[in-house]
Amino acid sequence: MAKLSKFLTIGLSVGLSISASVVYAAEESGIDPHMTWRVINFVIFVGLLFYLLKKPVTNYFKSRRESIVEELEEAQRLKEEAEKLLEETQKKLKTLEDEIKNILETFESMAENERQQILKEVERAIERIRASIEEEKASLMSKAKLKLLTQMSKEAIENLRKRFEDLSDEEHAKINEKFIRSLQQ
Amino acid sequence: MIDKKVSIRYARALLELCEEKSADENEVLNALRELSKVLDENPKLFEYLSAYVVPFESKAKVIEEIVEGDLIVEFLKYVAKKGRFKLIFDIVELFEELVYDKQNRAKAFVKSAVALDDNTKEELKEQLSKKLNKQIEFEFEVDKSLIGGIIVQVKDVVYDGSLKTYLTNLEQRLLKLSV
Repeated sequence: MAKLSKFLTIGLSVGLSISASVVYAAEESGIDPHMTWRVINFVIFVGLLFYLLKKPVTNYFKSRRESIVEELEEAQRLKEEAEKLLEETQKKLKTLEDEIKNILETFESMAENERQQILKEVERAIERIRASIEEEKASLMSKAKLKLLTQMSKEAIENLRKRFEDLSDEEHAKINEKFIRSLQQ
Repeated sequence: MIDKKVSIRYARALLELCEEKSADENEVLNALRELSKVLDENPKLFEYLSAYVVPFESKAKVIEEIVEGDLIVEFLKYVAKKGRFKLIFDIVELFEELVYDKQNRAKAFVKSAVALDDNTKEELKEQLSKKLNKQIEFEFEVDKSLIGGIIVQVKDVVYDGSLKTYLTNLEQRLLKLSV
């Protein structure tokens, strides 16, 4: 308040002095004295404005400056964070890429193994089928051979039977004699 | 099997009875053979004597009528009394074996594809008697199904020299070779 009164006093004094000087000078120079008062009013208005607005404007700009500085700092921090994040993300991306690469390699390896396994299985299956066919073939051959031999045996026996049925008395006697001799043993 | 065991007990008992009574085993055997023949020809008589429902006294009367000789009559009555008359054929057969064993005799059943002449029969008798060291009684029979050769059966032993068996064995051997 004291400052205000001091400021007003000084302002008024300066204003009056200036206005007096201006009025005097105007009267001397022949300029319209109303014009002088207008100027004085304007000066007073400007002084009042300056007095009233100086602090808020200063404060506003100060706070604005601080705010901008803070925002800049925040922006810087955010930028740094973003860069850090970016770096981390890039690192992660790289790791991810490596992982993807590893996974792909693993899958490829697995797929290759699987393929090899399947191929082996198929080979084994083919081998089994081949062996089975060979076995079946052998079995069929054996059966056919057996059938043929059986048939031949039966025919041979039948022929012998027919031959024996026509034995003469002498032949019967020889057979009987042979049997009787065999009893000695 | 049980019947066989029971029958052999009765046959042995009869043999012992013959020894005790000094009876001629051959006569007893012949009498029993006759009885077997009669029973074989008269199945109703056999059924009557074997039936459990017929009283023993009735059976005894019948036995006395159809058989002669005290020893045999008593033996048959005993068998009937014990309800074992249905085993009489087995008993006779086994008694015959026991008598033959005791007398070192044996019975040989000879089957041949053709009738054997006397020389062959004699030769067979001689060889078999020598082989078994027994006095052999032969029964000859012609069986054309043998095709050729001879089969001799003495008790449970069979000497098979028939062409039928030879062919069967040969067939089996050939089939085994084929397998």
